[in-house]
Formats: sequence, C-alpha cells, structure tokens
Amino acid sequence: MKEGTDLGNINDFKLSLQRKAQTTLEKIVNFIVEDGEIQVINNEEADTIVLGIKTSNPGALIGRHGHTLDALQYIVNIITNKEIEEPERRKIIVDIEGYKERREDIVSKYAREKAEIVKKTGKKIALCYMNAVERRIVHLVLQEEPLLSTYSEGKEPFRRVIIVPEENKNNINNTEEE
Amino acid sequence: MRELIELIIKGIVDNPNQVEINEIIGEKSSIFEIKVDPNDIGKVIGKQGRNIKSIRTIVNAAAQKDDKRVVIEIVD
Repeated sequence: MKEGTDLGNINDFKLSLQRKAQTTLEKIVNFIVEDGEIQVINNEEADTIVLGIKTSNPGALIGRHGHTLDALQYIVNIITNKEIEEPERRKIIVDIEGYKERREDIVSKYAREKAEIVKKTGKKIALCYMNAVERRIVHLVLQEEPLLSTYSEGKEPFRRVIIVPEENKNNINNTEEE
Repeated sequence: MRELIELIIKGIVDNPNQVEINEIIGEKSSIFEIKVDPNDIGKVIGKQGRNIKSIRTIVNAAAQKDDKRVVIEIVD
C-alpha cells in the first residue's frame, strides 16, 4: 500500500514521462506522415503508458509485418526512459488504429488452425517467424490444449514457434527422465 | 531527413553536443555519416545492433515518400 502523498508524486512523475513519450512520438511520426496525432489511451497498469497514433496513412507507420511500428515503440521507449532508474521506468506501448488487437486476433486464429492440423496428422509444424509478443500470443492460445505443446526455436529475427503433438511431447519427457 | 536522424540520435546518446551528421547526396540514395562521442557508439548501435536497426527502419519509412533510399553509417 502506498501513502497518499507518495501516490501524488508518482502520478506527477508518470504524467511527465507520458508527456515526454507523447511529444517524442509525435515529432518522429510527423516525419513519416503529415497528420499524425498522438493520444494517451487509458490503461489500468501503473507502469505502462499506452499511446495511440491517429493518421490518415496508418500503413506508412505500421510497415511490413509491423516492423516500423515495432521500431517506433522501441525507440520511444529508449528516449523516454533515458536517465531514469530501473524501478521508475515505464513501458511504452505504441498502437495505431487498433492494429495490435487485430494482429492478436490474426495470430490466434492462425495458431489454432495450425494446431488442428498437428492434431490430425500427428506431425509437428513450424509456424512463420514472429516477434516475441506474437510468439507469446501463440504459446498462450495453445497453452490449454491437452494434446499439444509449443516451444520456440531459432535466433531473432528468425525465431519461430513449433507446435508438437502430445505423442512427441511424451517422448521428449521420457528421454529426459531416462 | 537530417532533422529526424538528429532527433533520434541526440535522444539516445549521453553527449548530444558531440553528434555530427554529414550528408552525402546521391541520385537515388542519400548517405548519412554519423559521428558521436566514442563512449556513445554502443548506445547508437544497441544490443545486437537493435538500436541502429530500428533507427534505419524509421528513417527509411520517412524516406519512402520521397522515393529515396537512406543509408546510415556510423563513422569513427
């Protein structure tokens, strides 16, 4: 539990970081598009700042496979959290017109489709290369599947999730135990 | 383009006064040579080159509307 006065200071601090993140992102974005506006999106988590970009040209900011959006988020995190000590740092998430949510739906659906094939054929499948956030979505979506397991292999940016059928999963476990 | 590169580089280094950017303009591409304080080179490159890779991605997104390619090199 935090005391009232502390909480007030923490909020001021978060607000100043929020402004810094917002201004930095706005400046960078408007080198790529002409009408970029940055909104702060309310979220529950105290250590996270969510920024949403509004523009008539979202494609230019998302880029192929979302690489430009990833790069924007990454750089804004570095610049905003510079000179801030670890416990005070805030994670900044940059989204654009609900892209990340849509992407989550697409990745989940794709993972489920491939999982069905693995169950039918009993053979493992390697999914396409994904970033850490998307691989995490796959692991979570298939976590409760009793007949399957998942793991990641390869080196970034060529890291991908492998879906393995239960049979193989047991084999792996057995060899480990023997 | 120079302003964008300057904004990002100066935002991530410890010594922004030591940032120098030299532009070599070509027909289809521009080369930007970046010079920073030797102690800041690691910050510009980042772990496994992640910082410089992100900078290149952003700068090339901005260059797309001019139909130009941008090359960024860090020089000693």
